Amino acid sequence: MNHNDEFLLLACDGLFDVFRSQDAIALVRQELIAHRGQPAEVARILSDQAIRVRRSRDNVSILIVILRPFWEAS
Amino acid sequence: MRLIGPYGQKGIGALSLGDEFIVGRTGFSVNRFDYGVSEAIGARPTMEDRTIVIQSFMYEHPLNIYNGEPKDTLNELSMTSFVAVFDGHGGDECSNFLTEALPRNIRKQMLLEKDAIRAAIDSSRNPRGGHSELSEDAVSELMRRVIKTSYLKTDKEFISPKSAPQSGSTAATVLFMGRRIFAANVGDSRVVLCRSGGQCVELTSDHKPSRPDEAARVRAAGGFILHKRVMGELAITRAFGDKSFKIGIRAMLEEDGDELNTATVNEDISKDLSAPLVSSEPEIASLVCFDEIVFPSIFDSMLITTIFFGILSRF
Repeated sequence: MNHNDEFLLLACDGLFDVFRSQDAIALVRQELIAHRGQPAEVARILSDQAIRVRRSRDNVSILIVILRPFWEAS
Repeated sequence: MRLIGPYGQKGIGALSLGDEFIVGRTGFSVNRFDYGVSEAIGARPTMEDRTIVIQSFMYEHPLNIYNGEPKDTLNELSMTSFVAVFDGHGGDECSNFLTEALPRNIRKQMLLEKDAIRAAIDSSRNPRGGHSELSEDAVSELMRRVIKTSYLKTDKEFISPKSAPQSGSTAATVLFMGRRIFAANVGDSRVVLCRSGGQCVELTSDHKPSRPDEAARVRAAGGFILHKRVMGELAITRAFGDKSFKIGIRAMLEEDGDELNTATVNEDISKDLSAPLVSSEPEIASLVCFDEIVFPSIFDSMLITTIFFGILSRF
């Protein structure tokens, strides 16, 4: 068991209709690194991508929980 | 340093989980873990999704005072947090109900099983004082039962009243308890874990008619799948609410005034015509996510995070 888990993503089908799980994870990870954290801002970026860029027509709810500040050099 | 005023009294001046305070023009909140939420209505006319984050799930003290409770009672059981996403359909009554009722029922069930959970956690420690690395043990078995019972009870509470609305909702929930997490779902909302280096692990599996085992369950209850929907109507095979799908196919047809086609259905005695077509039984994943070195740094201490600038208007 690896204890270096980084974060959890919870979301409804409004996100997963237009994002595969692994693509959503990759985007969140990239943005968390770019913003040095700030999960609220990153959640907003992801929902923006889903609605404006990928044209999800549903409600989009996203919740990111940080398990470890992995973007910081250990 | 000599503390005066309220700071001089034990407990009162200390920050507690959930506190929000302002320094200069910046707002701060005291959290167990850092998180971010985004809720967008999109192109829909109504917003029926709900999101909840409860940082301190078991440990509540009135008036933000320690209540004389020694810090060392903040053990593994009190270090519990709960987060959830609910995607409502056919109205927001069900998703609204869940934000209050599901955490309440899980908390109640955990308190009922409190001694058993504590004992199981104690026995999961190995003789050298470390923790078992197993994610499936007596603790996870107990917690699966707690979560399942709470889900079923919450659904029953919602659909039982005669006046209950027809709306329904998915649920994707995570219960953090000490080093463990329990991810549970009904419907097609998901919990996805990012492991070290960006590896993606889906902790839940959508309950949709496209899943062969789910379609088989619907058919075994006398239902059918049409246009990828249960009875041609509902796009998910498990949900909270949707009470007309919970009464069994026989009662559904009677309600519609249709005669049950006994010639076709009775031939197959394997079908249970009173079983719910749509179930609120969750599937639950259990994981050990934190080790004892990482664990205190995230969960044992309070984390102070800046909050949205917009929230300042609330002060």
